[in-house]
This record gives sequence, structure tokens and C-alpha cells, in this order.
Amino acid sequence: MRKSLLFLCVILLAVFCTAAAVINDMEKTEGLSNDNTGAAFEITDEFVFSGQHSVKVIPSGKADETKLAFQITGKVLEQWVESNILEIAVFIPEDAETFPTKYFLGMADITEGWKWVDGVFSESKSKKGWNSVTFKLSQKMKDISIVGKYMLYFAFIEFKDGKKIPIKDVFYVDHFIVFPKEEEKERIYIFPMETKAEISKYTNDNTGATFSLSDEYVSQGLHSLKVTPNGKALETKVALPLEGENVANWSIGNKVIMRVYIPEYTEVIPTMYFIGMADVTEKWSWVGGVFADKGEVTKGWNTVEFSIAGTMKDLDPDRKYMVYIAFAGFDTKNKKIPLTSPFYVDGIYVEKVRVLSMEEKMKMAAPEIKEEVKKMLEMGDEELLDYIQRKTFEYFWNEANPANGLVRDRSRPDAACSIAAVGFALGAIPVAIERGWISYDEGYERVLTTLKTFVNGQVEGKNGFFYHFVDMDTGKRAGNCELSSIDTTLLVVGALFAGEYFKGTEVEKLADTLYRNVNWQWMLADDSTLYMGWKPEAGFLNAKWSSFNEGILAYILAIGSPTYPIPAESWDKIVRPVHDNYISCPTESLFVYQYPNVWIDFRNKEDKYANYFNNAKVATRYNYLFCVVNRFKYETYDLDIWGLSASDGPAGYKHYGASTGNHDGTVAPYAPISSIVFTPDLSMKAIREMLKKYGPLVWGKYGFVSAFNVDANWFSTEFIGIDEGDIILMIENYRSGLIWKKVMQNRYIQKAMRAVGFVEKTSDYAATPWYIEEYKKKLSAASTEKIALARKVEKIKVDGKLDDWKGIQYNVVDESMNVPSAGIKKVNRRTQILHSHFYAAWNDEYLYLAARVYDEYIVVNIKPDDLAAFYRTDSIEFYLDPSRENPKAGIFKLAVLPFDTEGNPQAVRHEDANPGPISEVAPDVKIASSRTENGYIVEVAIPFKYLGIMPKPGLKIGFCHTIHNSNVRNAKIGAYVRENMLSWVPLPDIWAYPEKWGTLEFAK
Amino acid sequence: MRRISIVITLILMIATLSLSVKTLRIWAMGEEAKNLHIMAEKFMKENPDVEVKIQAIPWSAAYDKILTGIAGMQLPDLIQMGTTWMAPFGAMGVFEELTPYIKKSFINKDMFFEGSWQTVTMDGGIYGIPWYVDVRVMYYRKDILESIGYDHAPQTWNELYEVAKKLAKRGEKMYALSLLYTGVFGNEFMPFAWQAGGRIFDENGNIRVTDPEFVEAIRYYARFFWEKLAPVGGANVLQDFAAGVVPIFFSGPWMVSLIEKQTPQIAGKWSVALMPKNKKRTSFVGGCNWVIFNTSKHKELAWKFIEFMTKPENQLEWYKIVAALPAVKKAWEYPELANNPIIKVFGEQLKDAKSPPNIPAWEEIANAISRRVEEAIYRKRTPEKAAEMLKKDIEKIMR
Repeated sequence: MRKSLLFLCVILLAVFCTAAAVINDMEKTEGLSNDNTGAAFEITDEFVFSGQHSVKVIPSGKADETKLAFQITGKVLEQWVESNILEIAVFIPEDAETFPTKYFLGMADITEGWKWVDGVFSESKSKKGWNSVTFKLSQKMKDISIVGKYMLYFAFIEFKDGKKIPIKDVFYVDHFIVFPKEEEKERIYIFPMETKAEISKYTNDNTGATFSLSDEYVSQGLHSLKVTPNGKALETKVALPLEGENVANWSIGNKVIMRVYIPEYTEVIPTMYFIGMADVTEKWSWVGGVFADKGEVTKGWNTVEFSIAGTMKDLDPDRKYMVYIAFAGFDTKNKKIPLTSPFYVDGIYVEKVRVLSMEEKMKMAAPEIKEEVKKMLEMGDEELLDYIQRKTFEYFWNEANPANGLVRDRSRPDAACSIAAVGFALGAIPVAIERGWISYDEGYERVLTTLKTFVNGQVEGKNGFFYHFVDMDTGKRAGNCELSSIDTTLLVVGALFAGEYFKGTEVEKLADTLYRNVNWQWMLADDSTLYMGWKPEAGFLNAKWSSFNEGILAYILAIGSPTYPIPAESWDKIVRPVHDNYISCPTESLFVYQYPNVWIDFRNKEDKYANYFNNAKVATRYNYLFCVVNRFKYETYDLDIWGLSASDGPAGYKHYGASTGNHDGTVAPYAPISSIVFTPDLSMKAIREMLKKYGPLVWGKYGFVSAFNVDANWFSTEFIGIDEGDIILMIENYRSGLIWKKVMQNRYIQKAMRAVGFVEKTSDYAATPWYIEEYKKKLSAASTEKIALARKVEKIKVDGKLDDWKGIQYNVVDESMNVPSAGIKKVNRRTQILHSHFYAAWNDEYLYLAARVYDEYIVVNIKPDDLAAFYRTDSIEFYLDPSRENPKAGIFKLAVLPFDTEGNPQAVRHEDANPGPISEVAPDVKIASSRTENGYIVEVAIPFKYLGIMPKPGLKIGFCHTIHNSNVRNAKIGAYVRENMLSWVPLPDIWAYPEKWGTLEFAK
Repeated sequence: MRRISIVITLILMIATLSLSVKTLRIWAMGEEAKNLHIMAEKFMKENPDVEVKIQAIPWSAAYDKILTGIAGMQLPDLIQMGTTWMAPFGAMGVFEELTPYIKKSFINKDMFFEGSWQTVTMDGGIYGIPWYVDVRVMYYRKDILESIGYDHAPQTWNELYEVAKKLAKRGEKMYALSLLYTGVFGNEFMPFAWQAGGRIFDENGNIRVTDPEFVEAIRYYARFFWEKLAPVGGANVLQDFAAGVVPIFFSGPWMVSLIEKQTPQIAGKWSVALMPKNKKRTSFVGGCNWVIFNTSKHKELAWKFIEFMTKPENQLEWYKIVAALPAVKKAWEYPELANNPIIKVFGEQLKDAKSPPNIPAWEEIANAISRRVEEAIYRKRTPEKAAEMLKKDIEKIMR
């Protein structure tokens, strides 16, 4: 272990890669400025990271910050805009008492005058010796013009007791480069030449040279190797033992690189460099040798590279080698002559790309997995599905605690038990018995143990519900998770299935008891929908199962309960949004559709709303097509690589789905596989294509991994219980219908299905034609029935404040009122705030309108003279249709930008009867805006003369209010950055259909 | 008794419907959807056993509506399909291949403009029939050009550039022409690439955007912004055109009626001209095609409707209803079109007009073109470097 510390000295440094560009090589001090910090700069060759020199920074010892600044312009800017990282090398001498510990990079635009661009701190830490200091360039810093001129300011700062203190000691800087992140490489020092112990192992191979540890000239770390030739040998040699981890490291790259310093006084410069290698494990045997790549060697620092290939690269990590480096000089006749003066060698290293590419990962995958995948691809469909199920089953057998039957949430040793995973295990065990992977007795025992654990009170819960996650051993609540209604449902439905499978045994009785214990009535909210859960600290959660999703399964169990049934009417309380022809959960996460269909056989059955099997099938096909149409945007998606559902992802677990803004190229294998009952062809193709394209990276000990994202070069190595359960049970339903058959035999389930109105019926639709019509009616009724009242007032001061509006009822446009349109994302309620409280009032002269918009981030990117299409960015609109009163009156659509780049509101009439800037087309309109703690206020007064109507109580005009929203930080001036559009009447193209607008009614 | 009679009437009605009347279901968008019933009524008069049902779909909801229709297998018989949507939806295998229908019909390839026919052919098959076309031309202010000494529209790239410099010199905040520079403007940029002799792919499918011709187009386009000849900012083209701030822009036929309606003050002071010539004066041709879904149970009937809409006299009639330019060349011989000096220019331009590669990835390529040209406009990359990056983008898209 210690040896590895000694030899494997890894400095994370980005050096020489094709896309890296040197912005300042620190070979001269011209052009360097200290930005009035009094620091002095000197060229030196004492400590050089690259090239021949570095810059010695001599701080004034008085300034709080020591600064170094220089200008960049021209060609280098073309590289700059392609880069994300700026890196500098900083050397801190061993005896330094004060030295920089914090680094700041500032940037100013000096193309015309001087304008601050942006600044960033480095995250890098300092130590004695060479440091790599990296800055992540901000978007503003990259958003520059390649024909501009810029100043870079590097500030070197030292802190003591939280206060900046002047740096007094000198330090050295070198090698200022920029590069894109993907190209980052790290140096692995095979021979760091840092300690006496290390160099004592070096020998001279009978060339008489002597070695010492030096700190005079250093290229990495704090020391280098001083080589003193004996002045007689034609070749001076250093022999270095290569063993242990270094053997593997040696072959990482195609090159071995060495830094060499030739002092000024040298007469015979070593220009020949040769590396030879021998295997010295038992007896000495030659491996191979190579001369250095061509390149001039001069006085000062040099970089010498050797291309390593063939036998010199194919080393056996279990063997020991000796590396011989030979140095030689030549006279004018090109004859080899002995070296006479000392030179310095520091850091023989290889370079490794920090992040393995997908191809490399594929190559490096375990051979047995590759072999397994290959075999799988040769199997027929039935055999392949069987194999997948079997591997998947092993999760439930191995990742369970045999003493109590609890199952891990995911394949991580520290993971808690998920009670839903237990439910899926109860489903998987009978499958394994039927398929002969375990014996009946083994399976029965495990199921019995599991049910006893829950029924006998060994798992923490309340009123028959259990905590979502519990300790694998003690069954106690894990963390502060919720008592979960859906996860209890998944546990209980698994138990009921097992009860039916082991009919007439103790298992059936225990399953029955488990179900009877659940007090669904307790979990029922006042509005007859079920709560999602309960916490002892806070009571019931705010969230309820009020919309269509996997929660419908909970209702079936709750309605069918023999002990605490909830009324069947609750089934009708579920809001079921129609997406054209099927009932949709707006996130379009596939598991939502799958979970109820895992257990309940919805085939050829429908209630008044839908055939839920067909419904899931359409949602699955939509999910598939969504990936297909996005396949050119995301490398992961392809004709047979699809399936967006809640899963792990590069940035953690997310409720991914087939909706704009809710996906990032992450595919969860369980999503297409568990769809097999709905889309057998597409699912089979997906299985084969995933194995074919990414097999060794998406397949592992429990079957398919939880998720992968080729765009992010990210492949999960974990397995998740509920995903594994979905896979094994859905495949079983596809193969034998086992789960469906048994669950549908359960009398409580039968009772519930009857109670909510399911009838046997074969149909090819998803949502019933009746319900689609009903839903449309509801929607259009919603628009014409929408009425906002305008109150009669004396006068309202248009000042951007809402003081005058006290006592006037407001109307709401909330996060759910998204206008469906291509390219517009639905507001993500989890991460965004976006709603408006709007007011209306009138007197004889004006119609007053005000909106208090709640928005967590306001984008201001429109110049005062850019008076068009404010919907590009954060803005609101009021649509008025006075023609409902006076057929001759024209539409008036007012678009208001709350703040232009100078902070003032702007308004235009847009796409209406008389479009143009307000100052030209309706100069007497008054507008004002103000910022609030959580958004902004817009207030307007519109003279009735522009509307062509005379106000009076009872008057009704068409009205709508929209919010356009962007959260793009660093939005370019004038750029189209809109992401969301909300509308009081959220119908497609609402701006173009005045007849669909709501009503503004003038009240007394 | 009363109830029984109602039931009987109902049964009779259903019987007659199912026996003799066939229903043709059509999805249409935008203005077309609002007016198509006029043609449908005429068709039904000619075919009394047919009922045409038109469902209007807002453009902004159309893409998703078609997608969900395919997902739910709930599709009409016939649909109006934008030319740039042919490939993405066509790739899903839901369009009926029309070669067998064409074989026994008066409809043939030569009736249509070449660029327009390109949009219905994919992988050697024919998946639609052009309905109407749009083509981009140059709109210009005659009076303003005259004021700087030009009695004609700029004919070549050089002339356009010279004119532009003079126009911008008219004063503070005066520009020459309006070009798109943000959002997706691949279709607006491509004519310049074609005019320069550039192309995205060659015959062997190699990416050619780094060819000097393509780079030249990027430079030519971007230079109008570098030299402040084209405005940056959310300019309202119509108002700026009327005010004379921006006396030249490029757009499709729909602008004709918009200018006439919204800016009557410049009546007689503007005209249209062909695209400026470099090697060629190629423009972009778009429009809409008719497509039959292969799930349709009334394919022959759908084809009959396509034939009806393709007849030159009906193409003319449709032009009169919504001013959509006929896709059928013969229709351009009617005096209504041939004698209209403005419309004639569109007809002329159609002879040198192209559509982008008809591949599902086009939308993404158009995105990439926009992104890279925009970078050149903002001088974040040189035109050469932008083209290099574009090549990489396209390689990744086409991988």
C-alpha cells in the first residue's frame, strides 16, 4: 500500500491534449501586469512545469491580493470559446510561509473601453510543490466575441483566521492553458523522483553515473533527480525498477513522458534518449527498446516523449521489469561522445484520459459478462425471457434478509428495505417456484416468514399501513420517511397474490389479515381521495392520490377492503386528463401505467372512463414514439432504444417521462421490458437492441441495471427492487398470465372491480369515446364558464403597487394551466414557481388590470427599443375581445414586459386590430411595474376609447390572461428564451381564438 | 308509441348511412382547416355517397396530435402534412405508399414543381401528393431603392451587398435587410447555401458543410450583421418595412396579403423579386402535401379526394379561397396567376427552388445550422470554425 503511495503519485493535470490551447506560456514577462498590487515578475528556470521557463512572482508583501494580469486577443480566442476550463500551474516553495490558498480569475472586455465580464474562484487547493489550479469558465466568460480584446486577472490570495493577509513569499506560475472538459487528462507519475528511498533503487547499469535528490530544478513535486555522468561512458544510463501497480500504469497510454533539465553551462547536451526494458522476474530477459520521438533538446527544460507499443506495452502485471534510460551526446561529426556535466530528470509519467469513453468501458467490461450477453443474443425469445426472469429473481432471493423476508430497496449494502420491493418479492417467489428455480417448500417458507414479519408487528407502521422504508434487520422506520399508502398497497397486493397462490395455507390467512388490518378510511381525506401518506411529525401529507396514476391500484384495494372500505365514489374523484385519445399522467412516466397492470388483469374490461390495458398500451407507444422523434437530439434514444420512466440518472433519481423538459437521454431498461404485455414486438426488440448495443454495460448480476444514459456516458451499476419486480412479473404475465389469473381470483378484488363499474368488453380504444367527449365538454365549458369580475372603482393609481386593489377579489392562473404547444414545457411544480393573481376593475374612463406574478427567477433581456414579441421572455399578456358587446370593436391584445434592460415596463399591442408600440397605437394606456419579493407586479389602465365600448354594469367582454416565462440565466439580449406559457384558458393556440377566451364581466 | 317510432327512424338512418354513405375523415390545420369545407362540399356534390368530415387542428398542437394519433392508432384517412414533417412521421411507417395509385391515375410527377415533388419522395417511395407550395422571394421597397439610385431589385449577391451598404448609410438606426438570426432558421439560411453552390450532403452521403461554398454562405449571411446592415433585436418585419427602416426582407407568399391588409400606407411602393444570384438564385420551397394513413379503411376514397384537389381547376379555386400557391404547374397558366405581376414572381422562383434533405433528422440539422450560423453572426466563431462545428454536429446527429 505504501509503495503505491510512493510510486503512484497522481497529479490531476490537463496537459497536452489536442484541444488544449496555451493562452500564456510564461516564457517571458512582457505583457504581464500586477494590476497595482506591487508584485514583480521575473523569468526563471528554477521551477518549470512546461516549456523552458516559468514566471517567478515576487509579491509586494503589502497588498491583500497579489495579482497577475495579461491581455488575450486574436487566434487564442477561437480556442477560448471552445473551452470550459482554464488551468495554471503554481509552484509553492517548500520553505514558503505565506502562499496563495485561494485563486480568483476575473475577466474584462477591453475591446472598446473597459467592461467587466465575470469572475470565478477556483476550487483547487494548495500544497507545497507544483499545483494545478483550475478555473471553470462561466457562461459569460465564454460568451465573447472572437474579434474582441480581453484582460484576464489572476488574484492570488492567502487567508488567516478568515481574513485576507498579504503574501510575502515568492511563488512560481507556469503553463496557462484552456481546454474543454471532455479532453481532461491526468498524469500518472511512474517515477516521481521525490524521495531518497525512491532514487536509492536506481542503478547506473555500469555507466558510472551518480544520482542525487535535488531541489534546484523541479518540474513536479518538490524534487528531481540530478544525474551526474562520469565523463567517460559513451552512454549515461539510469535503470529504474518497474513493478507492482506501476506495471499496469505503464501501459495506460501510448506514450511515456519524461522531463529533462539541461543547465546553461552544459557543454555536451544529451540529445539521444533511449528506453529499454527487460523482464527481471526470474532471470533477465530483454523486452524491447525505443528511441525518443523526434524533437529538439535544448538548454533548459525539455519534454521527451517515448512511443510505447508492442512488447513494451503488453506487460504482465504480475511480473517485474527494469526500465533503462540511456542518454548520449554527439560531437559535430555526429559521433557519440561522453556526457560531462550533470543534468536533471523529473517525473517520468504516462497520461490517462480521466473519463473512460463508452467504447473503452465496453472494452474493459468483465469477459464473463460479455460472454453471457453473447449467449443471450443467441437465444430464442422464450429462452431469453426465461433467462432474464431468472437473473432478475436472484435479486429477490439474495438481496433479502432470510430471517424476516425484508428486501432491499436497491442493491447497495447499506440500502434500507422498501416495503414495495417486498410486495414484488411476494409476487416473484411463486414465479420462481413455477419455473423450478427454487422448490415449493423454499418459496413457501420465505413467503411465510415475510408475512409473519409484517402481521406480527415486527415492521413499524400504523393502522395497518407501513413506513415506505424500514431497517433490513429491525423493521424500524428508516430516516424520517412517510407511512406510505401506495407502498403499503404494493405490499398488500403482493401478499394477496401469494395468498391466492398458496390457497388454503397459513400464507393465505396471513395475507388476509395483512389486508384486513389496513385502515383505508383513516387515510381518506375530506374530499374522498386517499392521502399519499402520513408522518408522525406532520400528520397527513399534503399530496393526495387525486389524479390518474399508479394510485388507482390503491383505490381498488381500498374500495375492496372487507374491514375498512372507502366508498366506491372515490373512484370518480380521480381526475383523469385526456391526452387526445388516452388518459394520461402528464409526466408520462411509464411505471405509472404499468404498476396497476402488473396485478390487475384489465384486459377486455372497462369502466366508464377507459380500458386501462389499452390505455397503458397507447401510453407505451407514445413513450416509444417520443423517444423515436427525439432520437436525433439524444444519442441514447434510437428506433429500438426507448423507455422513459422514473429511474436513476446521471443527476440522481428522477421521475423521467415522455414529456418536454422531463427527460435527458436516460433510459430505464425496466420501462420497455415491463411493457411487454402491451407492446410485445417493440419490447422484444428493445431487449435485444440494449443487449446488442450496450450489453456488458447494462447487464449485470441481477439482470438489467437500473438505467443508462449514453449522452452522459453514464451507466448505472445498481439494481432497484421495484424495477426488478416490474420486469419479472410483467414477463410472467406475458408468458403465462400467472399474476393476473391469481389476483383476479381474489374475491375482494372482484368486489372492488364490480363496485367501481368495470364490465367485460372488448374494444380497440383506450379512453372510452363517451369519456373523451365528456372531457372535451368539461374543457370547453371551463373556458366559456370562466368569468372574472371587474369591480367599479373611483380611481386606481397605476404605480405598480397593489394598495388600491384592497378588497377586490383576484383570479388565479396557476402552474397547472399550461398551454399545450410544441416547444413549450409544462411548468415543473417540483422545481418552479409560476402563477399569477390577477385583478380587474373599471370606472367610466379606464379598464384597470393588474397581475401579481409569482416567479422564482425573472429574466431581463429586452432592450428598451426592442418592442416586439415580448413572449420571447418573462412577460404577461391581457387579451380583450370587446366585439362580444360591439361587433365593430376590434380585438385588443396587450403584451407587457415588466422590465426592460433599463428596468422600465414596456407594452405593445400584438397581433390584434391595431398592433404596434403603445406609444404609437394607444398612447394613453398607462402601465407600471414593480419587483416583489417573489416575482413582479404589472398594473395597467386602458382607456375605453381604445376598446370601442362604453362601460356599464353587466357588460361582458372576452378576456384572457397569459404568463410567459423563462428561467434561462445569462439569457442573451433579445434572445428567444421562453420555456413556459400559462393561460387562464389553457387551450392550444389560445391567442388566436377569441371565441375560446373567458369572460370579463363588469360588476357594480 | 312515439319512442318506438324514434327508434325505428334511428335504425333506418343508421342503416342508410352504413349502406350507402362512406365517411372520409380528414385532419387539416390553420387557414386550410377553416376553408377546406368549401372544397369538401363540392367533392360531396360530385360524390353523393361520400361524407367528408374535416377536423381542424391548431398548428401548435398538430405535431403532438399526430403523434398521439399514431400511438393510439386513432388516425384519419387523409391528412394535410407540412413538407418538413413528411420525413419524421414518414419514418414511423404510417404513410401509405402511393405508387400503385399513381399508376392508374392522371397524377404524375411531371405535373409538379421539382422541389415540391422532392418533399413527397422518401427512400424511393412516394408518400404524398403536393397540395400547395410556398416559396421564399425577396420583398423590397421600390421607392426607397429608387431614392438611392436603383430602379430594380438587387439581382446578385454583390449587388445586394452594395445596395445594403448604401441603404444602411441613410441614417442612424437605418438598416438594409432583415434576416433571421435566432431561433430555428435553417430553412431561411439554406437558400444562401444553395445559391453559393453549397450543400449539406453530396450524392454519397458525405457531409459537405465545410466546403468553401457553404462557408462562403455563412460569411455572406453573417456579414450583414457584422456590418450592421441587418438589425439585431426583435424587429417587427412588417412595421419596419412600412416605416422604411428595413426595406428588404425574404419571405413566403403569405406576406403579400399581410402587407396589403396591415400596411396599406405603402401600397404601390413595394414589390417582390427573385432571390439574389450567386452561382444560382435558388430559394426554399415548402408547403403542404396530402398523405393517406395506411391504417385507413377508405384508401381509394382518400385517393379520389387527392385527385379532386389536384385537378388544375380545383387548384385554382383553392388559390382563390386562401391564396395558397398551386403545386400543380398547369394551374399557373390561368390568367388569375399568370397576369398577376406579384404572383408571377413566385411562379418564376418555383422553377429554381429546393427543399432540404427529406430525412427525419432534418429538424435537428436545421437546429444545428441555426446554432452555428448564429455563432458566426455573434462572432463567437469564424465562419470556417462554425462550419467545422456544424460538420461535427451533423456527424453526431447522423451517427
